[in-house]
Amino acid sequence: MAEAHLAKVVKLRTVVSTGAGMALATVSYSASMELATLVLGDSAWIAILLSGVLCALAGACFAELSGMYPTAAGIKLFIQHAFNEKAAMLFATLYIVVALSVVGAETFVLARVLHDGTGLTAVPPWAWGLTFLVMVLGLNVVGIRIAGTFQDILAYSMFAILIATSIYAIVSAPGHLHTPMMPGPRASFAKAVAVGVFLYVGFEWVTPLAEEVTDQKLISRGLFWTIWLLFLTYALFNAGMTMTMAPAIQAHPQDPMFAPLIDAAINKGALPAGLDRAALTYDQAKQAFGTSVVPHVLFYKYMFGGAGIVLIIVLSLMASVTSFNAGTITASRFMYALARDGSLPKVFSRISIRFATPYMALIGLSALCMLVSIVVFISAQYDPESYEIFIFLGAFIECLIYAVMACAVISLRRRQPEHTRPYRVPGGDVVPVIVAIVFGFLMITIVIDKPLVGAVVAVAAGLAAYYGWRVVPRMRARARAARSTRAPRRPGRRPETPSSGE
Amino acid sequence: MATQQEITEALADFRNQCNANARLRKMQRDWTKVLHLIAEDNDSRHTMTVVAGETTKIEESLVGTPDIIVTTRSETLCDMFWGDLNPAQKYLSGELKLKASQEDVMRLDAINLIIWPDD
Repeated sequence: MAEAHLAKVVKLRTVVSTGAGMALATVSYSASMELATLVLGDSAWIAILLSGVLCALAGACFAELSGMYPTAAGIKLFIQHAFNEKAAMLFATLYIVVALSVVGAETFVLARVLHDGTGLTAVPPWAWGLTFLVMVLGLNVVGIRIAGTFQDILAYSMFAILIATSIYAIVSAPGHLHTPMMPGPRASFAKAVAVGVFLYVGFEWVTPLAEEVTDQKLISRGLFWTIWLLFLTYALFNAGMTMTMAPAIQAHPQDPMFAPLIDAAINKGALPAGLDRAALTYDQAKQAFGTSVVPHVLFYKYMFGGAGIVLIIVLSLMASVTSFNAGTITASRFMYALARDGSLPKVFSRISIRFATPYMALIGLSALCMLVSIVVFISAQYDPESYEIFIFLGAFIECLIYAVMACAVISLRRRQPEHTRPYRVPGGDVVPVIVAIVFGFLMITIVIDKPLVGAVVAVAAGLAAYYGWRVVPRMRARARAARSTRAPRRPGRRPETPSSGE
Repeated sequence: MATQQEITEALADFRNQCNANARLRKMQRDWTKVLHLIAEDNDSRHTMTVVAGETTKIEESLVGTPDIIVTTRSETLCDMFWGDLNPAQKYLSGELKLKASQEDVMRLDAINLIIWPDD
């Protein structure tokens, strides 16, 4: 009898809404403006496009791997088969660091949006951030999740509003596009592309959906549509925001909303100290606007007044909720599976009998998120833009993961040439080699500009390697010893030897 | 390689364990699913039906539209349902393939964990 299809399958629209919803977070608006300050005029779209094309090439590698191993344990499994389990543990841990760095920056920016937007200044930003994280934890522990049609409605509404308001801003902006084809110096442009990669972080989190589709090609198609939707949204949003706000700052440099931004840019060294504020250039005004932690709030406030603030608060919450929803569910289930596998302490495999959720994995994950968020809030006391280091950290590790995935494609083609591949990256090894080299180059670009990122990654990698290579084998040996004392239940047989991973 | 009969016996024992476990029945009270179990190294096919947490039927063929499809070697299927191996390890090593929502994948493993705790 032929094998049946699942009763409930995920469709292409949900694959795209999950990937795009995951990638577009509140911090993306700030990162988008950070990118715009690194290029001349209105040429940010070129950096966004190039980083999108690079992510699409990396996405092709993910699609090939996901087709071979359609499982939620994706990244760990790809690396395990391509290299070995130690490498898999190392990179899987670093991948969790990406998620945590995004959470740190995301919580900080969302808290600032709620703090600045609501006008409830008596409530400190950290309290907003903490409240949001506790709320996400609570919803996940009781098993309330945004899925299927609701996820689609939420994500696509958010993208539709962003695109519509961006087009409106572009059409109603005074003047014209400034140097849209000239991004400026190569070094700054390379850095802009690296920040651009951060804008797409999370698009590949659709691979855990591989277990919920019947046609694996939906995952590869979904990856490409996700990137296209993100490019369109970011490019329009960036153009609309810059074309509206730079001329506004030029025209009203003494406005109470803009003057502090110019002061901050001068203090930061982005603008000269003896600047003639009445003669600001377009790019100088853009630099000033880029110092805001919440440029999107100022943009919507300037465009639509009080209604704009309400709208951007709603959009920011939607962006954070869609990102946290997909991220928390996948990461906590992965933690649970690792605990069951013996790679994490057993406590993380505890299940809530009432809600059937891995509550200890959720609490552990939330505690880590809160810890990172606290670090961001404390460092912001000394430098309000310090949260940007988490953007670069996320971008760096993501570049590393993409490069490793490309190497995994090449390795698996040699190790397992006969393995079924529903999708194969065309052009032989050309694309994986390009992905490995280009993302390697972007990593170097980030470390040269932000040496602290390199230091943090080195420490994280060292800890992950020690844990994966020293602690995990001991934990597994103990688990094996405990299990070996049990008599096999299956009549007349000994239990199977542990899997090759052990 | 385990035979169809051996897997049926493992499933029958698994059903008894599940239905007799009060904690599990409580956790799975809203869980109604059809599971297809496929051995990739022989022709063994089973359908297990769970209604409100109670395993009601085990059939030696693929019946109905499944919510969960489990595909692995017949030996792994057999040992897993006897509780002699940890399904999470097989899952993370890629030897156990699942088609299901993330929620159901976790629940499936949680059943095993509750019936046969690690310690």
